[in-house]
Amino acid sequence: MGRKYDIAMVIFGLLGLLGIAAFIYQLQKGLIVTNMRNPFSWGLYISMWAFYVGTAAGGLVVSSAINIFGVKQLKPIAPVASLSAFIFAISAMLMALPDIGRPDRLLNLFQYPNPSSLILWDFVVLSVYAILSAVYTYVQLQPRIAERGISIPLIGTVMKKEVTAAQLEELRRVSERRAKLLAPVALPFAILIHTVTAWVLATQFSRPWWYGGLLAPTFIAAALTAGPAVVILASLAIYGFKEDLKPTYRLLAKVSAFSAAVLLFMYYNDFLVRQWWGNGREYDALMLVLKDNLHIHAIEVSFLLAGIIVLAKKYDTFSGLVTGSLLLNIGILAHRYILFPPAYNLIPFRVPVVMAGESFEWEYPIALGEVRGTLLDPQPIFVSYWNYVPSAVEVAITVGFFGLITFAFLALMKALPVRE
Amino acid sequence: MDRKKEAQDKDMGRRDFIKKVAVGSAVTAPLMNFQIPIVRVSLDELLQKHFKEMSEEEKKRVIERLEKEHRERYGVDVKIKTTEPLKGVVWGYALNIKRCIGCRRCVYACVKENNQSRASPEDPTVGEIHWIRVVEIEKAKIEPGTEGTDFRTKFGDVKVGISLEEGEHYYDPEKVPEKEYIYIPIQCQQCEKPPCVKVCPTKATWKEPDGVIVVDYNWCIGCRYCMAACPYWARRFNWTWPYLPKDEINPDMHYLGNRIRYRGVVEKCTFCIQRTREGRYPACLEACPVGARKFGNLLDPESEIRKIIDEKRVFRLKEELGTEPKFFYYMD
Amino acid sequence: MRNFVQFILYSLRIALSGNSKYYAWLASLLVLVIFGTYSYLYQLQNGLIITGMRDQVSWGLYISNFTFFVGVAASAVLIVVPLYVYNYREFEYIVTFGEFLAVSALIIALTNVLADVGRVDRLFHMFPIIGTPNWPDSMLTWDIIVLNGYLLLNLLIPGYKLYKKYMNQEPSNWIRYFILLSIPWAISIHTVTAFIYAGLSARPYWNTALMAPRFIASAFTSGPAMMILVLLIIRRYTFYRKYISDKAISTLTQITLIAMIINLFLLLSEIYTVFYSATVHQISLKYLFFGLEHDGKLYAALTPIAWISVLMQVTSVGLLLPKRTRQNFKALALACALNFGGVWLEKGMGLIVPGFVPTPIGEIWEYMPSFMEAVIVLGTIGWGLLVYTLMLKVAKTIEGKQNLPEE
Repeated sequence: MGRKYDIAMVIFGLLGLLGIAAFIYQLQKGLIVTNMRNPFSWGLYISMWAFYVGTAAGGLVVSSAINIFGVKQLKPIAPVASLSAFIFAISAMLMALPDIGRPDRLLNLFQYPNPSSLILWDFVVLSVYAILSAVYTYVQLQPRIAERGISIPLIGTVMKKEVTAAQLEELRRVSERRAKLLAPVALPFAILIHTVTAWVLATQFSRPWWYGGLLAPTFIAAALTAGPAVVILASLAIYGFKEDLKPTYRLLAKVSAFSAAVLLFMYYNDFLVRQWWGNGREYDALMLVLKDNLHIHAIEVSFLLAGIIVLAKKYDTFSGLVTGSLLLNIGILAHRYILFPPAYNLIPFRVPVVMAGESFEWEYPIALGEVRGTLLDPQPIFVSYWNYVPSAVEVAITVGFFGLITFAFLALMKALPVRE
Repeated sequence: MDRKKEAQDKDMGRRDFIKKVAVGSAVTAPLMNFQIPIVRVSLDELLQKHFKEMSEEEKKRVIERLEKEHRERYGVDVKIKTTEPLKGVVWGYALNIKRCIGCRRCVYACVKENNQSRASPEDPTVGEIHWIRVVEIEKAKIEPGTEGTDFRTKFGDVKVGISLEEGEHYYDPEKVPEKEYIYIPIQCQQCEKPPCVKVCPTKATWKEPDGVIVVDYNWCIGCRYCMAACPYWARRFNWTWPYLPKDEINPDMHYLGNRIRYRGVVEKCTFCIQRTREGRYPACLEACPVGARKFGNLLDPESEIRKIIDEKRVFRLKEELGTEPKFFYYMD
Repeated sequence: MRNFVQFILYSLRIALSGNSKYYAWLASLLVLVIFGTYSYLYQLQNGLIITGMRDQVSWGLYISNFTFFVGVAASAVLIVVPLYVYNYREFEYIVTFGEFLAVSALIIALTNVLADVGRVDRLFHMFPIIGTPNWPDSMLTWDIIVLNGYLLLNLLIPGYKLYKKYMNQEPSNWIRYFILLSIPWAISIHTVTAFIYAGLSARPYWNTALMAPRFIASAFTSGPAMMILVLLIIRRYTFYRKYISDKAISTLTQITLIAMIINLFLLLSEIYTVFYSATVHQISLKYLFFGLEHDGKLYAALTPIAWISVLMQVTSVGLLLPKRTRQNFKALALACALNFGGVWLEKGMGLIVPGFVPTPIGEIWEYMPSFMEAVIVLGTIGWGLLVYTLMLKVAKTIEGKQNLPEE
C-alpha cells in the first residue's frame, strides 16, 4: 500500500471534488443540465443506483455463506466483504440524490410515507441493509480493534484497549457468536434489496420492458455476479494474491461466473418469449434493444461472456481474477444501463387508429419540457422518441461520485484493522 | 425462394416414393381399404398426403374416397370441391355492433351451412358446435357518452371500452334485443398474423392466398395447441364423432371448409370458403335480419368493406396483440 | 452382435426373476397398466369426449402430467453434473437410478401426450420426411425433438455402461461426450417445454419469461425429491442398502431444499408483480388462488388445490431447513413426498388449467378431470414405474455381480 495507495487516494479524491462541484452546478441550474427529458425521465443516475445495489450484494452473501452454510474458505475476506456491502448500500442511496429534483425535500419521504410506493420500501431495506452491514463489520472486527485499534490520519490510533490473551480469546468467541446470530437476519435483507429494487421497475405495467416477475430473479443473478466480483477486486487490493487465499478467490470467481451464466440464460429466455409472438408491445421493446441499442447489448453480452470464460478458466492467476472481475462488472453496468432506453422509448400511451384502410397504433408524443432550436431552425418540442445520451454534467457527477465512493472505501480499509 | 421451392419439390418426390412403395398399385387396393378397428381409419386414409402436396390427380382420388366415406357414414350423396382461391382477393368482414340485435340467427345459419355437429337426442354428451359466439355486454360499458349505469368509481361513473370479461355468453331473455345491452358476435378473425398457424406442429392449418385460415381435417393430429394460442377462442375441437341427421346435411362441401369433420380434429370458421370462392356471401351474413354484417374484398378500394373502414368508427378486437385481424367491428 | 443379443436375453432373465415381494410389486403395477390401457382403448373408441376437457379448457390432466414429468426427468442431470463435472464420487453408485428415473419420467410424459392428441394415428405427421413438421416455428415440434433426444441419451449412456460391465470391459471414452451433451440437453427440455406456454400472448397467465426459470427451479426440486424417495425405499426394502451412502442422500437433500426455496421465491415474485399492478395478467391467478365470481356464483374449483400445494411446499421447506428433521429419514421422506406432491399440484392443475380460465373472450368454465381420464393417467404412471423397476433390477444386478460382494 504505500506510494501507490497515496496516488490512488489523490486521484479519487480529485474525482470526488469534481463530482461535488458538478453536483452543486446541477443544483443551481436544475436537472435541465442532464440529458433526461419528459419522455426519458430516468437515466444514468438510476442505472448507477441499480448497479450499486447489485454490487452491495457480495458482502453479506459472502458473510452469511460463512455463518449459515459453513463455507469456511470465505472466512479470511469476510470483513472486506461486509465493508463493501456497507459502502455500496450507502452509494446506492447517494446515487439517487442527484436524480431527485428537490433534494431539500428528501425528508418528506419519511414525514409523509406512502406504504404502497416501492421507492419508500427500497430506502427502508437499503438503510437497514447498510446498518446491518456496518454492525456486522464491527462485530467481526471487534477483537482486532481491541487489539490494534482504528488508525485515523491526523488523530492517531483510537479505541485500542489493553487486553490480555485470555480476554482477547473471549472477545473472539463473543464476536463469532454474534456474527452467527446476525447472519440469518442479514441474509433476507441481502435478498430483499435486489428484489425491492427490481420491483420498483417490474411492477410498472405501462413499461413492457420492465414489467413481469422475471426482473427480480435477474436482479439477484446480476447482484450475485457483480457482488463477488467486487469483493475479489477489493480483497486483491487489501490482502493481495496469496497462496492461502486461492480457494477463497476460486470460490468467489465460480459464484460470480455461474451467476452471470444464469443471468444470461434468464435474459435470453426473456428475449425468446418476446420474439416468438413477433408482435405487440413486449416485442417492440425487444426490437428497441436489438435495433437502436444493439451496441449496448453487444457490450453487456460480450463482456459478460468474456468475464465468465476468464473467471472460469483463470481463477488461479492474479491477472485472470482482475480481468474477469472487471469484465463482469462492466457487463453488469451495461446491463443496468440498458434497463432504460427500451423502457422509455416505447411511449406508453398509444392510440389504435384506423386510417386509409390501415390500422396501426399511434404513439402519442410527449412534450420535452424545453424549447429547442432557434427561431430560424426550430426543433420539435413534442417527441415520441428521445435519443438519450448522458450529458457531461451527468457523466461528471457519476464519475465523481464513483471517485468519492472509492476514496471512502480505501480510507476505511486503511483505517480499520481488516488484515489478520 | 426458389431454393425453398426446390427443396419442397425434392421433399415431395421422396414422399411420393415412400407412398408408392407403401401403396403399390391396384393389387393392394383391398388392403388399402382395410379399416383399423377402434380408431376407424382405413389404411388409405392413414397414408393420405398433406393437401398442399397433393397433385390434381391425387386430390381427385382422395375426394372420391371422401365422398364414399360420407355415403357410408351419413347416407348422403355429397359433392366435395377444392375450388382455388380467387386471384387478387383478400376477404374482410365488418360488423356493425350498433345494429346487431343478438338474435343468434347467424350462429344457427352457420351450423346449418357448415355441417357442424348437432345435439344428439340419444347421447347427451354430443353437443352442438358453434363457430360464432355472441357475447352480451351492458351498453353503458362500451359506448362513451350514454346515460345510465356503467363502471362505478368513487367519483362517478366512467365509460370504458369493451371488456370481454364483463360479457354474458349464455344470455337468454324472452326477447332480444334488450334495451341496455349490446351484442358482439365473435368468430374467427382471420388474422393476418395468425398465432394458431405458427404453433401448429404439423402445418395442418395455414393461411390461404385469399386471407382465410383453413384446416386440413385429414392432417390435423388434434393436439389443440392452436386452441391454446388463439386470442379469440375461435377454434373448436371434435371431442367425439359429430352427430348429423341425414336430412340436415348440406351436400355442397369444400375440402378445406364445411365437409363433415372427423372425431379428434380441430375446426373453425372459414368465412364459408365453399360459398365465397364462388362469388356468394357467407351464410351468417345472409342470415342477419338487420344487415349488421358486411363482407368484401379488402384489396378492392371501391368495395363496401373498404368504405366502411375509411368512413366509420372501426375497431378490432385485441389490437394490442398485433395479430391484425381482418374482422372489423364498427359503429355508425 | 451376438454378445449384445446375449446381454439382452440375460437382462430379460434378470428382470423377470425375483422373490415373491418383487412379483407382488410387479403385479400391482400391471393392474394399473391394464386398467389404464383399457381406459385408453375406450377413449380411442369414443373420443376425448370421455375426458373432462371441452372447448373452453382444451388442455387438462394429460398435458399437466406431461409438463410435470418432464420436470421430474431433471433428476438425472443433477446427479450427472456433480459426478462427471465435479467428480463427486458419492453419486457414482446412484447415477443409474437418476438416469433411469429420467427415462421413466419421459415415458410417462410422452404417453400422456399420446393420450392427449385427438388423432394418435396421425402422429407421424410431426416427423420429418414422412410428415410435415412445422419447424422452427412450432414449439411443440421442438419439444418432440428435445424430449426424444433426451430419452435416447438417457437410454444410451447407462445402457452402454451396463453392457460394458456385463462384458467386463472398460467403457470407451466416446461415451463421455454424450454424458457432457446430456447436461445442456437437460436444461433444453425444461426450457422448450416452458416455451410451449410462455410464447402465447393470447394467454396472459402463461405469457411471462419467468415461466422457464420457474420450470427449472421446480424440476430441480421435484426431481431430486423423487430420487430421495426412491433411494429411501430401496434402502429400506432391498439388499442394496449399504451402497447408498448417507452423504449422497444428504447432498440430494440440499439440492432439493435450495431449488425449492428458489422455486417459492420465483412464485412470490410472480404473484407480487401481477397483483401490484392489477392488470389482465391477474385474472387467471386470481381464479387459481381466490376463485372468480360471475352472476353471483363463485367459481373456485382450483382454490383448495392451489393453497394445499403452497402449504405442502412451504411445509417441506420447514421440514428440510432444520438439521434435526433433515437427517431423520422419516421426516425426510415426508418432506420429499410433500415437495413432490406440492409441485405436482402446482405444475399440474395450477399451471395449465388457469391459463384457460376465463377463455380469451371472457367465459368462465370450470374443468375437473373425469374418472376415466384419471385412470388413464394412473396407467401411464404405472407404465413408467414398471419400466423403472425392470431397468433398475437389471442394472443393479449386473453392477452388483461385477462390483459388489454377494450378500
